[in-house]
Amino acid sequence: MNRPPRGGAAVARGLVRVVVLEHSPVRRAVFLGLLPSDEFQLRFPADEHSWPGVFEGYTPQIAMVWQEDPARFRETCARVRAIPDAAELPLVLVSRRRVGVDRATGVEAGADGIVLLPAGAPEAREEIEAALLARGRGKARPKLPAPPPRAQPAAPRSAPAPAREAPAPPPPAPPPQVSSGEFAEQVQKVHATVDRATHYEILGVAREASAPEVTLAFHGGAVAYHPDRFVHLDDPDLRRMIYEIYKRMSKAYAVLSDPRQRAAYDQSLDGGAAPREGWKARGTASDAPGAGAAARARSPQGRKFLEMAERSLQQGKYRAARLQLAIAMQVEPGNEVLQQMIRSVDRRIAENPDSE
Amino acid sequence: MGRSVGIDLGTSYSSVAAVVDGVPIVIADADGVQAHPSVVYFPASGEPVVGVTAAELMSNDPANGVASAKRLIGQKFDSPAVRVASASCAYPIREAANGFPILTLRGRDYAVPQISAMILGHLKAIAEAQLGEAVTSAVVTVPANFTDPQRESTRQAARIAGLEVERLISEPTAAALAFGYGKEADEYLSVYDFGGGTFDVTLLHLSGRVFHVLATGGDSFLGGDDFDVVLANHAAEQFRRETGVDLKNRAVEWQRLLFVAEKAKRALSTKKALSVRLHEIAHLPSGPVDLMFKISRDQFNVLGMDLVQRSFDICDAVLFDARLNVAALQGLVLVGGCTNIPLVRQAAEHYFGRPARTGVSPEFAVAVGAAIQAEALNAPPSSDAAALKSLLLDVVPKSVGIATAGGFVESIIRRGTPIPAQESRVYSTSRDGQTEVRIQIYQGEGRRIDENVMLGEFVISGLPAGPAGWLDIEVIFEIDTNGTLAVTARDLGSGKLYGAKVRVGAELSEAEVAALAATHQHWQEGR
Repeated sequence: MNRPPRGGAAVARGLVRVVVLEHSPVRRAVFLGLLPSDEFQLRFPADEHSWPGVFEGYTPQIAMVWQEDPARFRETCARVRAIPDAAELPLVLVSRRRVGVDRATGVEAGADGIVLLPAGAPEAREEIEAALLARGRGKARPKLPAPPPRAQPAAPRSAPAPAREAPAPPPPAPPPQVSSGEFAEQVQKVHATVDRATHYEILGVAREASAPEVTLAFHGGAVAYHPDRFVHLDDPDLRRMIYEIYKRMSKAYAVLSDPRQRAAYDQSLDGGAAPREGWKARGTASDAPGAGAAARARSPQGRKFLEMAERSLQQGKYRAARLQLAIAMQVEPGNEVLQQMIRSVDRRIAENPDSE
Repeated sequence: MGRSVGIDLGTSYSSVAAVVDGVPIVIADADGVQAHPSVVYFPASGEPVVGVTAAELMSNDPANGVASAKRLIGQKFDSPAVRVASASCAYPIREAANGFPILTLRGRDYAVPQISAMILGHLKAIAEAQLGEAVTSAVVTVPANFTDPQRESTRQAARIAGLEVERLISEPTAAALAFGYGKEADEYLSVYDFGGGTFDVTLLHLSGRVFHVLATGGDSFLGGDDFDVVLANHAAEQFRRETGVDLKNRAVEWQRLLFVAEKAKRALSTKKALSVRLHEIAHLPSGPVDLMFKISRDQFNVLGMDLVQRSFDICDAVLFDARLNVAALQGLVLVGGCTNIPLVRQAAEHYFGRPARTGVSPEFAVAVGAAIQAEALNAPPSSDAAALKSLLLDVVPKSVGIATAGGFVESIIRRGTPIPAQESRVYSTSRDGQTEVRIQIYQGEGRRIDENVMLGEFVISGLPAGPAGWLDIEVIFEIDTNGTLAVTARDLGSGKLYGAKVRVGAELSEAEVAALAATHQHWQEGR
């Protein structure tokens, strides 16, 4: 990554030292993607118990922490603030874009900023800058020596968890009111996109998203929309929409998590065609006996052109068949069978534009 | 509406659990028993007996009791499971008009779900007595590899017992819920569930409170009972060499032998060697003879090796499905009575390359997990419990497909697909004037029809007649979050919908279930 540092004052001065209170490798990978190494220097704790230890020999300018569940923002912020070194540090939450979660939710819970995934580096930079400014960037802190090299990603293990014994966090804020009008509106909005969104759009990930990112996005979608979370919802329409949104996410994940299916899907996206989710097959099952052309066209003329059209169809001459059917229609304007055949032939022509 | 509980309806033992004030507990009966034998005994007079007492009574009188009913539930009379059972059962089994088996005990006929309903009713009564409130619904666990008919029959059994099934979840998944409850983890976990009658293995990704099932597989003909059988076979073979009497041909004696083999197997988990004696098992011209045999743990390990190896073949396949290798897994959970056998435990730990997690009893993890899921589905919204509850992302346990020409099955929704899942296929009519399309739906992994289980037939009729190929019909297969399959069809030309739920060829009709539920309630009240 050799691009010049962009952005405002905070990052123009060189590397911003960030402590990321996250030990899960998957989530760490997301942080590394959000905060480019030419602008940010990241340091992670080795495990859940060494959050305070990560500050040893390191003076970060900002702390970041991941919490997907808005009901637990407050608890998580309190847990970070309970670490003496982090008490006064600007704190940025990382969560997922969902109903009822915005900057205000984060600030109210005690954070100075919030990055809502899916987000890119620019959004992350903006939030970090805002948080630094909000806290009067490093005003209480001495100027720092050169930061330690990055080859030291994890802090030494320290004694277990003083943070855990910190004063009990305030009770979690109630989750978003599922019955509220705002929520229903959001669901309707998402539901309206379900049919035309690509698998990437429905999960909110980029085309080049890695497999762990796809999984994380799917989990985030499940937390927000899994029908099990809404069994008590009274409005059956809303429940159905939620179900359909989640069903669509489930499908998107099924395709994107399978390298072979994903490659095929990417190809179909690149081809510009809406991906077909099926194949054509002949009904093989036992067929009920039916009637010939005689039963379908009442007049001799109509019958004649219907039979001609069928021959053309068998030869793959769709345009010819279309013409013959149109003539038959002129003879028998109200014939539903003919109308349906024309629709079917039109679809074939659309699929095979080069046919005769 | 009453309370909801979690029930592990096992082949050999069953348990019931509930989450009380945020703490999952296994509910014990008045005698302190938490693992109730899945046995129903029919005394000469009076009502059927369930549980510990039934198991004791049955050991002396195998012709009048039913054990391992789970092996028969939802199985057709001509299935291998029923054939195996009728060969070793001491009571008569015959075929009912709908193709399912009917058991005859003390002159009365029972469908298999009725037997399971008695066990479920017993557990319901225990839970109600201990919790002091009515229990009306439950999350019930089934083996991961149960087919739809087996699941549907289990639901029917619950309904007969007066329990609405809120969800059927697979046993290994339930165990994972129990081990992951209240923790925030990000790891891959394997659950190795070697129970009394079935073997299952499931791989999950735990991320926060999300329990994401990645792949699952199993064998419904591999379980603790098979260890009993190899042990009994070994003893019977020795007895045949000594006396010329083949106990395998004698149903009652064979049952007695299986009963002691089961006890011997358990004892060998703690003892290095033991000897078994069965009094007057056969009568020779010279007089009655006893069966006596000695067995060491090492000998037992040799006998059971093939069974353990079969479980690892399934683990290989499931890892392949999940596109993972053992090195990627961070945790191993052992569930099921068989994992108490040192051979099984050591082999599993060796296969997965790590020691098994401890913390929840392997015998009760499944019931506890079911209780946690019941709580998650019932927590009132906006409560703390709702914010903290675990979220289970499940998959299709067995592929669903349709019959194609030549007796093959074309897979439509593959096993391991996250649910809800939806797939569609477009069919054209194949003959002139065709007004009806029949689609036969099968479940299983085999390529041929006869290697799969038929779920039902979907008939689209009343199509407007036309020449071959002129109608395009889109058939949509959908499996919802409850695991229920629905099939609908749409004429792409006119947009007309042809819809119907696929009714699994159910073991009992709705009316029969209702009638039996009424009788069952009467039985419960009389107890």
